[in-house]
Amino acid sequence: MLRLSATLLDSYRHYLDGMPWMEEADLIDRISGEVEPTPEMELGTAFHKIFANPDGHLIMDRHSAAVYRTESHDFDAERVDTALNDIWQLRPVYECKDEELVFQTERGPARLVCMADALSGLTCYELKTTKKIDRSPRWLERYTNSFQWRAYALAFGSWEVTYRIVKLEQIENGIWTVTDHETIPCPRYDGLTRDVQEAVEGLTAFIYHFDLEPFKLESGNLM
Amino acid sequence: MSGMKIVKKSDPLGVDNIVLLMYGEPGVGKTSLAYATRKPMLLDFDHGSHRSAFRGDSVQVESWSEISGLTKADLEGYDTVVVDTVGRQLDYIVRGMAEKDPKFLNKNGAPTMQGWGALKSTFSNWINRLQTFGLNVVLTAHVKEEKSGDEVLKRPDIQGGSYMEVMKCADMVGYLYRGPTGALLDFNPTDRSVGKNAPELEILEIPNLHKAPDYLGQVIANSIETLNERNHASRVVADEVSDWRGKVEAASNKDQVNALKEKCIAEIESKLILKQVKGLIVDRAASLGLVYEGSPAKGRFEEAPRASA
Repeated sequence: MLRLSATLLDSYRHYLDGMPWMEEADLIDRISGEVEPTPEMELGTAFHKIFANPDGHLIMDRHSAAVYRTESHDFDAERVDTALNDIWQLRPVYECKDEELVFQTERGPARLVCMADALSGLTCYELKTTKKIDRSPRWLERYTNSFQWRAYALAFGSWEVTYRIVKLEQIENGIWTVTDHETIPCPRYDGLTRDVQEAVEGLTAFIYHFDLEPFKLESGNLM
Repeated sequence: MSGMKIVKKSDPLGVDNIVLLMYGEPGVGKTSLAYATRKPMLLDFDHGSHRSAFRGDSVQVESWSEISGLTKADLEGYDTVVVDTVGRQLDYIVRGMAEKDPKFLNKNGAPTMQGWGALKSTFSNWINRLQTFGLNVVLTAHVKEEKSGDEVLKRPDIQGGSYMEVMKCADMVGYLYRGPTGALLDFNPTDRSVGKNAPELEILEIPNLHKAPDYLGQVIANSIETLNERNHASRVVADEVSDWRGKVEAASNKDQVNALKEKCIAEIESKLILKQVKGLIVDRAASLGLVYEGSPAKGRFEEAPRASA
């Protein structure tokens, strides 16, 4: 059985949409795991650590403003709180994993592995960091068209997946601060399962077409 | 204490009314369908309601100041406010803002950054106020097409930075178009049109409104019911997870964590709840320095091996 991630499914959508950063070779690299983390990815990873465990990263002293500190990044605590407090107050379950979503495709079964940033009741919260929030229709649709939230809605039975988009900028002393944030609710819809099924079908066909299945097989997985 | 009504933590927060946005080509029947709601009052920003064969009460809006301060008493006897069209409404708001303070517009007559901000907050505050009066709001919009490769994507025609605000405040967004046998309303997001369909409605075939004068009103009522059922279901999940959270946080060693793992698998019937409780247990185990060993179903949490000096 193939083992696919919801994030990979979204990379496949970017490829289908003709996004310049996701050409055929880029998608092949993603599937084969040959992707070096970029500074943006590392920043996002650090911010997610803060999101899931703020108290474990909070540094307070009498002489300077509070920061959230990870091994690699410091974040301005006050501004981070403003952007995330409403989700924290729900006391959600963080980093919830699902591995039970299996689709039957023409090339055999494929498992879709999903890792939600936070779940509260039947709402899923997904955190994204970015350099730009422009609120244009195209910018909005980068999130609403995503297959990631569609997969999560199926995996976790969520009525709605809410994206929290956080714009980060570096200020003095190398500290990162939140300069803007936005919330994008993505409710389920009729036909959601069919859309995800079609995407999994397409990605599976792509993987077999380029003989990439050894990278994604559950048993005998090379990675 | 005054008549303040306290909503207990365990009380489900109900959906009493919704905002529905419907967009489509001119002449497809947006205004007529908007009139097929419960006790509608149409705010006619486009001055086109006379073309509807199903015309009901309306206000021919001439300036934003006429309706910016609508009160509950003004709307007494109505259940639904129709904004026809929301694109024109935003134009009126911009004009009204500029009359009060010219700094909201630049030399070309477009909103400044500050103007966009004021436009969005004015619009969303106004919608929120209508909802506090217990009214459903139906927004209509013309359609705007954008070519993307071979596909043409249809969106509501709403200016610049306010597009997102309108899309966010709408609980449902549907594209109304002419099908082979009549008008169809599709709330699903597709490659061809944007949409928002929280109640998961199939594509609606709009019936003869002479025979179904309350058609959209019924769709709205059913949608509210569905959303309330979901809120309730979500509350049940959150409450059960919360109960388990207390037990998980009380576990202080390997044996208690493993016992909880067995207990939750044996006792929790809902897979959705089980996934979340397992997440809590994994988190708790990690905070106690435990690692999971063995298969997903039969493994156990064990002390993490200590790193050698």
